[in-house]
Amino acid sequence: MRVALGIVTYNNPLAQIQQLLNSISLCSAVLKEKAELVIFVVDNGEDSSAHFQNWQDNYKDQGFSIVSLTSQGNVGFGAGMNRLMETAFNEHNCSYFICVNPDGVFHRLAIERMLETQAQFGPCLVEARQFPEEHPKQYDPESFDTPWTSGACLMIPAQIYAQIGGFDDRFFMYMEDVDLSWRARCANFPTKLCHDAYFGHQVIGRKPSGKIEKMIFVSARALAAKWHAKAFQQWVEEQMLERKFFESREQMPALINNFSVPDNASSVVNFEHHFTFSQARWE
Amino acid sequence: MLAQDLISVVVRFHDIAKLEELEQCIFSVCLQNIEQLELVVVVKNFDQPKLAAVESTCAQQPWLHSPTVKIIDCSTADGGDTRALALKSGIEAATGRYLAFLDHDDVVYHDCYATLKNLLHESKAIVAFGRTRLAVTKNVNGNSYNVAKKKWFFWGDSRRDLWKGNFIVIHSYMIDRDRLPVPLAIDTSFSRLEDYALLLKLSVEGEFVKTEDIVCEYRIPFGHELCEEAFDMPCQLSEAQKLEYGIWHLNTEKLNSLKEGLRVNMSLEQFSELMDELAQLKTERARLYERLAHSDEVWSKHLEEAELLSFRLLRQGHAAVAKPGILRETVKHVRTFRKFFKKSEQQSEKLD
Repeated sequence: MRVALGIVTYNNPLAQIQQLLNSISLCSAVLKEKAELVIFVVDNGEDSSAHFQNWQDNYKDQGFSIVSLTSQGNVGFGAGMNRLMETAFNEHNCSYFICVNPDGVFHRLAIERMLETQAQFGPCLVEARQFPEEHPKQYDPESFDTPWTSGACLMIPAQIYAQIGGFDDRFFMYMEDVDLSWRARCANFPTKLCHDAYFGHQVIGRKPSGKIEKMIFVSARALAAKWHAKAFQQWVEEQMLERKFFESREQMPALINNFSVPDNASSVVNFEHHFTFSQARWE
Repeated sequence: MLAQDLISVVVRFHDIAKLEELEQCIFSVCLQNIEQLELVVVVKNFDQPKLAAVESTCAQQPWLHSPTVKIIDCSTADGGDTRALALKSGIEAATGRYLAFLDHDDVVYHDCYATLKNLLHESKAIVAFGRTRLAVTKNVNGNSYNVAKKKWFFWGDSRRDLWKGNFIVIHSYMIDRDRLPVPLAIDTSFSRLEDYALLLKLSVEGEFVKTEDIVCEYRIPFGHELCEEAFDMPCQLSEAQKLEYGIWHLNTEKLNSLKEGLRVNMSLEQFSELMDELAQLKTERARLYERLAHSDEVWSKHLEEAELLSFRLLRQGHAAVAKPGILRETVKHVRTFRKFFKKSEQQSEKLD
């Protein structure tokens, strides 16, 4: 079985990538013959092809291979991941694709445990548990069902990709994972949290810049419009005006309006808890 | 001779059945990306296979900079509690100038050690500490589930606050051992509260510096007595937990005796300066009384308090040794008085 790891970089420090690759190397050693890991990488920032080549050379005996795609510039997270996904599933016959944030680090048992979750409940979207601070959204501690799965470290089976596709690349960054999760659930694929697959990822202590905050709000507005949540869209727009991201509604980006919301969406979609999109266990 | 840039982290681990917790604990240390790190894992009565499991857990982490790992077996013939002894053994084995502690069931957040080390660099403090997040975990079918989390233990700031109760959890601080006037001493007769006893002893040796950043997570089981206080959740103590609190309270009495016996080191020069300042303030007050038709109760109260407390200090018989609580209060009152004095003097000038 071949498992793809998709990494979209954006001017990440080399040490960060090195630690991520070290962690993948440990995962590979745990998996042994159970799965072959292939890393697919593309740079949305400055040209890193020389580094990619170095990594291919340095890690060639570490139990995984690296396929790097030519950069198309900063096309956004979802679009970058989609290119990698398409290559992994269609050209390399991968069974699973894991979206991996470049600033994260796998615990050595993480991928094995995500695969076990697929074996038990799959095909489903499976997210790793961010560590040491996990996402506060709800999950059921017995069934591991969660309302949506975070794209920071997310396993997507080939079967789900074939049926619903990848990310909606009209989201530049943020909320594309919520959208994918809702589409998966509407298509009757479960979304699960693998509680013991740890993915080291800094959440606490990070202060979002104004630029990032704006991106979050723009994506939230797009999500609301796509899923016909008028009240939420209005709230987001008011927030954006209050925060002076835009001077008027007319200046805001064009909205996604050609999506046909599935009939069962009301049992899936949740705009009641702002950007948590689920009741939060803590603030 | 301590290694100058080295951070030593002493991890206590006593039960091999909890290896999964140790995995998380060590993984959180690994994510710190500290260039010079020494990991001292202190275990209890472990045989060779158990030691090998701990060694493997430490080694098989995605280290960016491989640390030096020491595993110390802290054995007792009767198998009794060794938490204080484990601290002592860990400290003895640690060779870094910077020292931190971490229990196997807790975790540190990203940048914890870098933040604390920077704080020490930028100050003359002997201890740097950060804030803690309290997490309530529930066991569901053998899996750990976080029910709730919140910032906790954030009320304390000063030595006096520490005197009232411990708000600095064991993995939320770092010690600069080069600045300690005396070697760290662990009282191994404590079977609980050994960490608080250590902090109290440290508090009289030098200053502490703090950050409001959350640097770590302190995990408690669902039903723990803190659940009620922090989260308004029911406190359902198991028999084992009840027994635990019995032991806890016995140690509290021991701790109170320790508090009674502790003295702050203060040079005769520092003490003389403090007394001079008080004398000067008394003169200033008298002068202000003459200029103002009334006495401001607030600021005069602070001076009186300071006088009273300094008198109690003097009564101890020797200037170089003082009770930390009283000393702290004295300084606080002197400073507050000065503030009010300045304000009142400005008012008096306006009246003139």
